[in-house]
Amino acid sequence: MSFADLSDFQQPRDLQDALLILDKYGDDTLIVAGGTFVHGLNARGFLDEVEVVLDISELPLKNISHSKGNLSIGSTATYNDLLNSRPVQSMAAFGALKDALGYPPPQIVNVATIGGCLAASCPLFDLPTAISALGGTLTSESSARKKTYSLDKFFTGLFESSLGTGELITAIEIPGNDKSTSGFSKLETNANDLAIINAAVSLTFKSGLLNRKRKCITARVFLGGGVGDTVMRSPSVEAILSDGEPITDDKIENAVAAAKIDVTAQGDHRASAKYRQKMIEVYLKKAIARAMARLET
Amino acid sequence: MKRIARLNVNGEIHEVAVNLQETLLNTLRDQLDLKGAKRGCDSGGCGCCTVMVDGRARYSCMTYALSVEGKEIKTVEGLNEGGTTLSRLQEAFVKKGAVQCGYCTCGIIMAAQNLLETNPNPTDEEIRKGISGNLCRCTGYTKIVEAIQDVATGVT
Repeated sequence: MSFADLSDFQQPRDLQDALLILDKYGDDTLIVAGGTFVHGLNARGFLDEVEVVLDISELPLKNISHSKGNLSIGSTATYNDLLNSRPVQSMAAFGALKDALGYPPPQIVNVATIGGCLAASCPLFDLPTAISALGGTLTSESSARKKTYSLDKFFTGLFESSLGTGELITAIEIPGNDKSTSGFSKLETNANDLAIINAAVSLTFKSGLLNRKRKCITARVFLGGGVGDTVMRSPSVEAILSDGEPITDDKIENAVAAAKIDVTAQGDHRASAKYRQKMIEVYLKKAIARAMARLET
Repeated sequence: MKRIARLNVNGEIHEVAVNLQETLLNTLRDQLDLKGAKRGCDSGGCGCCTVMVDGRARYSCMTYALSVEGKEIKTVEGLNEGGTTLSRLQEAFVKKGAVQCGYCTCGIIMAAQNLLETNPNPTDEEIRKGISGNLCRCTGYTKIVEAIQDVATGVT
């Protein structure tokens, strides 16, 4: 946090003021909402050129609304506000989001924001994996235009995203319906830890969730943690789960074993590649189990 | 470069000249002489800098002083009444032997305060979740959890 002397610190209450500040200072601006990864960015050398902090935590971007099944979240809504919202608490479709938001400790949940998390574009975080599985999109604004990005195309590399200079994420949209369930699970060494591996699964059933036969027709499966420069999708696992038939224990075993076709885990000082590769299967299974358990309630 | 920040700390308004990038932790300790919040990892991982802002626990090492103007900041020094009587939580920590080196104590008490203000009857698991953002290298957490339970159940 205490990097080289700043030349300005602004905390606007109006979005247009914020966008003008971004236009004025461009890439020399550090945009801060909860600020929970500023230390992480600083330690990795990303803040060496920062001249100005733009604190957006007072902007009116905290609204959470739910319409026709879809969740609309202002980019500076906190994890706490989102976790306590009725759709996240009650809808099986948003289960992966509820699971992911439940991991960090109170000091993080009280101030961290979805916008900040996604903007950092870090596969070691949890929300990119969870929201990718839910097929989320995000909206950004600059003084020139509004843009919408599908998360599938938003993350372009490690700490790299499609956001251009002058753009601020203003909202995230997550589709939901009553025919889907989802789950997320994470391997961490303590509550403040980045993911060693995390997994998120969203499953959609032909005749809805109450039908006992529950034929799965769509699956979205994403992995994060040390799996690559961005979160990774696993079409091989998706194909096995969404074959139009009910999900059985055998099918789950086959599905998680197929993850290695699409995802090769990385080794680093936090975990070996071999360990991570094994944990991909374990945590994918846990994420599927969490999604399926929601059907029993 | 400095700017005057108007900070409401434990009910008192302070006007402090802060560096633009100064953290709330640094302002509390170095300018306001409130040493309860500690500088442990200084990077949002250990919890010993925990304070409350508008009733919510957060890491003061990851909070800019200029971000919290106009908000109600509470530190561990603000928990006891008149600076002499210990609060129930502080009393419970002492009675239970939940303090060893003391370095994590102020931060954990603030996290516990946040927990009990939002959830006055926490389960064991909820207590552990409530202090999951605070590391303690001495106690093994058992006595800390018992001290918080004592306050929740009215023993202390």
